[in-house]
Amino acid sequence: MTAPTPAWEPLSFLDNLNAAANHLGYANLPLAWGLATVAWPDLQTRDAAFLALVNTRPR
Amino acid sequence: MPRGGKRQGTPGKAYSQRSDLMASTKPVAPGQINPTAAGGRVAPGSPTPSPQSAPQGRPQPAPRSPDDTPNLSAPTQRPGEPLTAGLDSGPGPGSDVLGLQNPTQQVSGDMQILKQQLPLLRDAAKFTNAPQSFKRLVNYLEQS
Repeated sequence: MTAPTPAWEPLSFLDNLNAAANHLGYANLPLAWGLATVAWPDLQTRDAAFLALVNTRPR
Repeated sequence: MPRGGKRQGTPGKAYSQRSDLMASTKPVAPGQINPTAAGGRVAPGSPTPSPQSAPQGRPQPAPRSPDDTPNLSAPTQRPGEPLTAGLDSGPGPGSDVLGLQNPTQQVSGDMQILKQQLPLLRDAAKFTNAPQSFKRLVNYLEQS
């Protein structure tokens, strides 16, 4: 019997890493890794912070 | 009992929850310091304590005047150093004296550390509802 596959958790480290990498670009993965360790309170705050870092507007 | 809002205190009454009011309210003779007063304030009219009367064991910072801080119009404090010191062009030492690390080398070193986590990331890409963008990220790490 195999263990159930874990579900992807929003605001988890992996989710933060993925969001940061997509916002900042793959060339900034070390920075994205560091930002993923932040305990972001919610998705809006996190994404706003990433957008502010790259100075772009949400589409 | 109502909660919140402005409170009316009774003068002279001791409030156990207000540690800031526990200082003695007795008048202090000129020249004496009320040790229980908040911040050890000096009584009005008393002379300022001299630095020698400060507690021993803690070094006192040297008094500074505004002239101690250099400003833009002040003459240089390094008259023998060329303006281009720290740059790779011009007279003076180059950027190697700054001890800076090449950013490209630093990022590539960090990427090597990240790649050590690749097995875990590869497993995470198989999570239920793992976003497609994360799978692309793992693919990028595998190929780079």
